[in-house]
Amino acid sequence: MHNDGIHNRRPVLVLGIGNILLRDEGIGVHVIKTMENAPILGGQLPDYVELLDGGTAGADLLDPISDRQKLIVIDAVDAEVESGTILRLLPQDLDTNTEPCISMHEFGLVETLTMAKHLNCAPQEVVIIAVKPEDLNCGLGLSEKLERIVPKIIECVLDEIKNVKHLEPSKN
Amino acid sequence: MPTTIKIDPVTRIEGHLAIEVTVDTVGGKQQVVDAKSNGTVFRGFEAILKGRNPLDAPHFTQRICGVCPISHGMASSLNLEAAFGITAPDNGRIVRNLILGANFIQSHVLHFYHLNALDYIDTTGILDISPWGPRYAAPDMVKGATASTLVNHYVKALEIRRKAHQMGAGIGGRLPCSPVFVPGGSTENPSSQQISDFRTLLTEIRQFIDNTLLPDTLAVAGAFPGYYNIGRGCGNLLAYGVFDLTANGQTKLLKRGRYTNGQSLTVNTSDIKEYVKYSKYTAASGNLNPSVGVTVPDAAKAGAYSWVKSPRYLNLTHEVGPLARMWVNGDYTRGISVLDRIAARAYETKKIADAMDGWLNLLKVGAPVYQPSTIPSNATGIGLTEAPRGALGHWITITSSVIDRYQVLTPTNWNASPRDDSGQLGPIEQALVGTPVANIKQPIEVLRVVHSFDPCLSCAVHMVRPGKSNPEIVVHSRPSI
Repeated sequence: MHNDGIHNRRPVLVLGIGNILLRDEGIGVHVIKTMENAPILGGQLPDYVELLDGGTAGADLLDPISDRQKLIVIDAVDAEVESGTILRLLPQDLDTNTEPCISMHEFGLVETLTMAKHLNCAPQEVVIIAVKPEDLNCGLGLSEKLERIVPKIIECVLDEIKNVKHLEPSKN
Repeated sequence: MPTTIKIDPVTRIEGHLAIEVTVDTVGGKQQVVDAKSNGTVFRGFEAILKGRNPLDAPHFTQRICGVCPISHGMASSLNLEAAFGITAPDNGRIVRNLILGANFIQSHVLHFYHLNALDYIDTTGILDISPWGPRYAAPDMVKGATASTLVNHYVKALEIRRKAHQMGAGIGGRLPCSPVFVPGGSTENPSSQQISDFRTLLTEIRQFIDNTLLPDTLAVAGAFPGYYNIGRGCGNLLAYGVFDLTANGQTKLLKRGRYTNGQSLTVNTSDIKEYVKYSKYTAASGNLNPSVGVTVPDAAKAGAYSWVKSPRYLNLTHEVGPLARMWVNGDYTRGISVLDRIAARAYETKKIADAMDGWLNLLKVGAPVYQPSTIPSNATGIGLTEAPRGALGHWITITSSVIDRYQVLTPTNWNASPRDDSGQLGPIEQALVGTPVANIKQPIEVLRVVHSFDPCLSCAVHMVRPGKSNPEIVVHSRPSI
């Protein structure tokens, strides 16, 4: 998939993040790949929606998430729930750093959203579709349990896309 | 009584770096007397590649790390090119250099303003930097006008970082994890419009480097001259070199070499061995060159305290990173310390950005970017390059046209390594020993030393995590069991 460039930004970004080398940790990326390759919403994704495989990136996501009307993130979640559970979280639900940073790796979604706020380019609305993993061992491919719920996760994402009411031209 | 302090972001992420220092008073001065650098990431990624098509290597290795995927793309492409016996055409080589250069700039700029500068300036009342707090408080933090200027520049740096990303993505197809890096060159053949967009962004970034980054670096250095005498470490420097200026890679913008026991010498990778006496791998995984590397975990191994192996060059500890590169290249040889690492990083940012402008002139629109090849049935390869934080090497053995062995030796593997078999401490560990600590409850000096190396471990698991304040979680759906 090609970058849309800086002058042609779609208002809604669906961003899958995670590490595909650690099985279910890559759930966000697997969902994006499935959405890219399968006909959805009657065949085609609306032209105001962009899909992005964000891999394991942290601060690298600053530009892709910026100046969006809505950001829908798909990620694995570390929560006290049964594996395979899908949670709908808002940014204020997420844990924030309370320890001094040692490395550049300590940029997560929350930190990157804060950077975007400092630049006045944060997405107007952010929703995180978070999935509790079953298997985080080194390896490729999802566990059977998560593989089975990919369609349900996509349904959640599509609900979010449909919820976008008033499409405004992006700042760019 | 010695006190042990542990700085461990364990509440944040897995696959991270934890630093443990023991502080005691020696000769009337409270200081670090021992240090342990503990990386918690297991190098199991390499095993995933076994049995796969060699062409998968650039795609999978870019996923190892969330901070330097582009460097892994470069290393794996060079590695496969060596194994396949091909080189990239000039245009393809230049495109890859430009994308990697954009990545160096964004990494160095963000590192200075986000991790380095905030160790030295008091942001209280100037900018709410949450959620990056609380930081250690220290009486020597810069306050007032200098602090305000740096904080304002911090916000500007975020904008410049965003532009550096756009610059790289403009010809990288997409970032992170660019699909452009392939053995034989690049998949992208930039148009004159793409080249012109790139130059527009680069020009603004170069102005920022000259007018903001370099003066701010000097301002921090000027306020903390004592840090030219702190955190020297092992004193040996190693660079594989990066940004090939010719097809055969003999000429580079930053050359290959090492500085060992005060002498400038050449690098031969067969002199590298990884040790595991204090690493959580079986004894059979140790004393090996990466070309024949073995990585078998032994989590319960007695005495082992890190998942990082200990690479050594001719059994000696070597530091890698911008200071090593700039030193080996003869661009910066003032000294080896916390501030020298920070200064070399800033000067390197300028050197690379200025060179990139010249590379744009060498691109020929429409000229080939890719050299096709076939996968040999049996071959070996080595791909040596640099990530922003230091020397990065990939090693491959191809048997029956599939990957038999793939080994990745990262820069933080060098810098954050634990003790080796002969008991020599790793570079960060050595740099910490002797560091004065004024207040063991606020060990800012320790962070300053560690941050000067810009360490970065593989980003193993990076999940979102609900806060502890019992957020209202809406359960959308449950899987049918």
